[in-house]
Amino acid sequence: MEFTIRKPSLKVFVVALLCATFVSGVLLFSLIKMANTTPTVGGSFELKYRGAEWRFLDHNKRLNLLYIGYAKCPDVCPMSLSVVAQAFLKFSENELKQIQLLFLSVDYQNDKPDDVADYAAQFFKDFVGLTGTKEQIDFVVNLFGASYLMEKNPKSYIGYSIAHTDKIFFLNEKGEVIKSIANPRSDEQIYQSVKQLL
Amino acid sequence: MKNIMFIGLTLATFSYAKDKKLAELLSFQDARIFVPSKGSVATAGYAVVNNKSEKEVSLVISKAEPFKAVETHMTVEKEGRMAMEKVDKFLIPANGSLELKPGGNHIMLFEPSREIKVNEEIKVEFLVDGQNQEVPFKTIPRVSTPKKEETHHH
Repeated sequence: MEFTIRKPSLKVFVVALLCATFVSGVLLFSLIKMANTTPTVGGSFELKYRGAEWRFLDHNKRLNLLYIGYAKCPDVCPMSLSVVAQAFLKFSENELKQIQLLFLSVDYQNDKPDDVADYAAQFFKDFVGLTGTKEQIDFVVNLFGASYLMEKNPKSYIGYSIAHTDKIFFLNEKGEVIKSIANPRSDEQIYQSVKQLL
Repeated sequence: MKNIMFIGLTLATFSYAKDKKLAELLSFQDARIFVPSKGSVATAGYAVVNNKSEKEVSLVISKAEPFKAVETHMTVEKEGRMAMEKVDKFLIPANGSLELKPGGNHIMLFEPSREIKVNEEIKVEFLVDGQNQEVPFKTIPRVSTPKKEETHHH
């Protein structure tokens, strides 16, 4: 029996080279993509609106802004809601149909559901004031990588204060964070951000 | 008797003059209080406090009708969270100023006994180095309707 080993032709060599290049490219692309991918923050959640169960996926809009604070906060929370309200006043009716602001009060011990809803709606008629059980609130706070800390403050008239994350989260329809803006911020910055994301 | 009256009058005049002088030490610019929001028991006030004197002056809030309580606070960032701390007084540097502003030093006013409307004048009483000074603060809305030229057209 006789075997003859033929020299590979130029054609086979080129095809092999192309295949190798393609496979290397795919591998390299995958590696770069993995390195650049950040874990998704956010998602759907359940809270209470005026005491009734409220599920994000039942009320989501194309773009959803979320602020976490408490209604008895006299400084940071109202300023943040004012800035967003001031921005919302600039949008057209059509744009307003696609956006909303959700205000979550973490003060489950003192902020009554109706108070939170009324409080939020004073800044802009369609702002949604939400609260919930401690478990619901903690779930949402953790979901968005935020935090809060209730502290007794016997020297103060209301007897306590709540330190909390001061960020406006921009959520897509699935509730995933696509942007966040910390303080200091302006209504124009909020306006431009919403325009870009819509 | 005449002597006693004279001393009393002199002391009263001196005290008035001293009050007047101290009151002139501090001037308040853009003093404003946000109209209290429904669903909240607290609101805040801001201003720029100027001290024209050659010495540091302390500012303590004492009263503001019709609010049940008043306090001075500062907002600080702690471990990534915004927190409020009650402070007993603000110190206004000599020939300097202190800005009471959102996210910083501010006055807090709790539970008004009546509805407060926009464009009212709330008289806030302070102790300026221990002497009374009454400062008018204007009430303003949290959100102001933009003027027509400020709105964006599409």
